[in-house]
This record gives sequence, structure tokens and C-alpha cells, in this order.
Amino acid sequence: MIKTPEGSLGRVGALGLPTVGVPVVAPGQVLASGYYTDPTTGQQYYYNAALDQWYYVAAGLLYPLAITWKPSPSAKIDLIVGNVLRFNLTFKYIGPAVTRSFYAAIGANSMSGSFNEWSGYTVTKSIAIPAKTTPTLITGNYIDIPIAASHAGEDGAAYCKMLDGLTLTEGVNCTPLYYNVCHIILAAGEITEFGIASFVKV
Amino acid sequence: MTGTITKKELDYQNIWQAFPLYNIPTGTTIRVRIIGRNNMTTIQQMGIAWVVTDPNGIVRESYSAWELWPYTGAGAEHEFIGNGFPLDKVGTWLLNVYLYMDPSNPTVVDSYYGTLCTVVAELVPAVSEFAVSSFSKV
Repeated sequence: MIKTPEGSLGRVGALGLPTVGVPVVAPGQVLASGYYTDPTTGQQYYYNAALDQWYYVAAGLLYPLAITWKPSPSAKIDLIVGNVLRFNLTFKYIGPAVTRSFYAAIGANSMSGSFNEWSGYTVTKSIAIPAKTTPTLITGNYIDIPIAASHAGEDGAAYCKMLDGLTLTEGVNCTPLYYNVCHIILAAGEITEFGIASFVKV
Repeated sequence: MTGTITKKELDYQNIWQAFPLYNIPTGTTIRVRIIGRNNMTTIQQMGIAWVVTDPNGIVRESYSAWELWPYTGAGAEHEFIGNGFPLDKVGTWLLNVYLYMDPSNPTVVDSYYGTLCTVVAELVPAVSEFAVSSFSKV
């Protein structure tokens, strides 16, 4: 006779994990798989080099960390060498008057995984943020990236972050990774959005 | 004997600023500087004594000193700088200060009692909903 377990396991709800940022790795720095500890917060992370994936360690379990990919808030923009792509920034802020360094980048339009920045397509800009005693929507700040003579014919993704910490947290010091932001047109000329608008009898 | 407190200042944001100052965030450490002038026609040894109280009336700095040789000439000034203390309570901080001359027979030549500064809760910078609202070609 086969015995079946009795009783109910009950409902298993989602874990209430805190918001944890993705560790920032300096460009060119190569990390081995293993555990890493944030010296500021003491938070432990695990990095899988083969997958290029960070994990948050909680109660002995690993939870993957990532900045999400989202579609561009604007229609894809065709750009040629010499054009400038403007990132119009928005965020809510409470605190004293501060100046923060913002870093914007255009990169491969991979739509998933980590963000591969294109060389020559990054800009750092200091932005002064006024003191606010209540959470206030801050708009009107922007970063411009001039279009270089490389990656012609490719679609570009983009994101922006604040250079103020050891980890990146979406919405706090990093925007989502936006795909289908722009298309770099070939210098020799390229026809885009080619199609027949209508057929008429003549 | 006559003398005058000519400057009453706080070392705030690495700048000496005349007090009272308002809306300093908690967690700030400040120092008090008092400058006194000898109004006599003779050299005088200047002295100082002050007490800083927090919004609960608790003494947070008690400072006193007599200047060392050489003393202050006629019409000249001497500065006294306290050791510093953290502003860790929200509200009004008070200062009671006396300027003295002649340590053999200490005489108060000027004084001030009043607000040193007001302290407000520190605003911790926090950003949320950070995003790119749009991309555009310029």
C-alpha cells in the first residue's frame, strides 16, 4: 500500500525581497565567478562569469539581478554622423541641493542580457539638482550624445545612469535599458522605411 | 573697562558665517568663533566664556579661556574659537557668551544671549522613477 502524505503545505507567496542594485564593474575589469561583498553595505553577491549574471544572496539562496530592457519611449530615430541624440531625463527627487554625474550610453540593440556600449558613444555630464523637501518631479535635464562615424547600418539601444554608487538600481540611479532607440544610417546613403504607400490605377 | 563683541560666527560649510543661522540640517558639526575688541587705551588681556544649549536646554559646549601673551592692544581685536560640537537635535540652539577683561578682577565688558542657530531634520537625497522620458534628434 502506498502512503500519501497528509496535510496541506498552504500557499507559498512571493518572497518580499528588498530592492538590490546590480554591482557596477569598471569598464575593462574582468571578474571571475564567485562571491563578492559590497564593502559599503556588506551585501553579498554571486557572479557567474559564463552567464555574465549577478545574483543577490539571501538566506543562502541566489536571486538574479538585472536592469530590465524596455522599448524606447520614442519612435526609432534615424541618425547620421554629426547628428546628436538627446536623452530627455525625468526623475523624482527629495533632498538637499546636489550635483550628480550622469552617464549616458548608446550600444548594441540586443534587447536582452547585459548592455554592450559602443566605443565613442558615451557622455558624462554633471547636473545640478535643486533642494526639494517633498518628492518632486524633475524634468528639463538632458544629455546629448553626438553620433560618431561607426556602427553605421546598426540599430542602437541606450540607457543612462548616475555615477554615485557601487550598485545600479533601476529607477533609482539607472534607467531601464531602452531598445530600438535609434538607427545609424550608412554614410554612403541608406534608404529606410521603404515601402509602397498606395496603389492607384493609371 | 570697555570692550565689544564685534563678531559672532559659526564655522558652517567651511565658511565663517555670522549667526544666528537658520535651517541647518542635523548631523552638521559647527564651531563658534567670537571676536572681541579692546576699547581701552591700554593693552588688555581678553577673556571669554560661553555656553551653548541644545533645544532641550542641555549644555552642549561650555568654553572659557583667557588670551595668552602678547595681550590685545588698544583698539585691537582677539578671536576665541571653540572646539566644535554636532547639531544632533532639531530646534533652536542658544548661546550665552560673556567677554571679559582683567583676569585678576574679571570684568564683563560685553555679552550676548540669544539664538545661535535653528536646526532642521537632515534631508537624505533620494531619487526615484529615474527614466528617459523621450529621445530626440537635435
